[in-house]
Amino acid sequence: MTERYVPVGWNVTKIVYDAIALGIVGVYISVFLWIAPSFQHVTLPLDDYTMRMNAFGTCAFLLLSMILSIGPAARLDPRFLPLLYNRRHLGVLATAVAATHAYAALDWYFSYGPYNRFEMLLRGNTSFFQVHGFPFEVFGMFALLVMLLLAATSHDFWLRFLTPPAWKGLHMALYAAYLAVVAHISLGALQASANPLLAVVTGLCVVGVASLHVAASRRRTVEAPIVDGWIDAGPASAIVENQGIVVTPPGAESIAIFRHGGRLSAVTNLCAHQNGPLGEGRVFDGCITCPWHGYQYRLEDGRAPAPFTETLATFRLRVVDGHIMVDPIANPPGTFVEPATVP
Amino acid sequence: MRRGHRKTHRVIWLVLAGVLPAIVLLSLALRPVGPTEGPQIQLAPPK
Repeated sequence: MTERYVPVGWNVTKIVYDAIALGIVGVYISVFLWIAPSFQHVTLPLDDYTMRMNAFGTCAFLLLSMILSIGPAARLDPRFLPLLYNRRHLGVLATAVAATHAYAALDWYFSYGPYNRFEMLLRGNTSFFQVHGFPFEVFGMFALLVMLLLAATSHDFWLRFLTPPAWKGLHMALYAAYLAVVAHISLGALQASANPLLAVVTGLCVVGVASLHVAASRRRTVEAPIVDGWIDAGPASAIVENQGIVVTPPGAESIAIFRHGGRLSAVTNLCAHQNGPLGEGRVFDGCITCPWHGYQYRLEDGRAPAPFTETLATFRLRVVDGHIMVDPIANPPGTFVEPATVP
Repeated sequence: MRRGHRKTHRVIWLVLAGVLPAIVLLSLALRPVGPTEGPQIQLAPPK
């Protein structure tokens, strides 16, 4: 391990983001505990412990649904990009809320048996072959363990140490956790609840999250043609000043082409931080700026400005008859390429 | 996002788009109908 560990690289945006997220969670829990008693059955009122457990449980599920919606929403509409900026802190917050829900359940349902509460949780119910009464807690435990692992590795230290592709692969485990959470709710709270509100909210969340992901994944990239060994990236006039386009060579990773000061530069479309889509970013202060977390790179050599050390692969390009032609063979990261002048 | 991850994402969410609503709907359909509590026996007060 050669990376230096810094707990959180705080800045004003992150502090505001976290304060708003904490405020929303606090308001949700308070409002839930305030209005939920008026919805309960008069003959079977819920105790305070169960009410608290439900408040934190529903809050964790809503947060998780929101976290999973931010990525595809930002791909479909750039106005959601600010939510993506600090999504990892939202994930850690959701894990803390889910852990509070689990603690409340352990403290209430499993504290009065003859065995240790964890032993009670694991061996108290073995009705695995029926829907009503199924030990739904196992799904909740699995989801919480995955969320704890992801929260613990939600840091740039682990991102660099594991490399972005491996880290991304690990964090896809959140999809399995969400599946487990939906099973946990369906076989637990939905079986016992007489109020249809929980079923409606759960259904809307799962349909909403899945629809967003499917819609975002249908945005396919068109592969650019190769002419005499060069990629024809289309007319140079199609690129707006200080913005970029993305071209995808057949069978290879996409390339981002930017226009700045009337000149064109090409770099890989994958940000060195989290493989974010650089071509959807813009040029600020003479640097390509990733739309996900604001990482910046110089146009001519793909190097992050000092003191940062990230580098991108660059590509040779030229303008022929007003068309941008890009060499599909990537240069080693950080290689200087003279930007092409648009005639 | 890399090509491989994009493809994996697409397949995972196509599967989940069917599985997640199915879990919710199935669990609601298989929910026991009627009262799940045993009838309360009201003992008459001693005469």
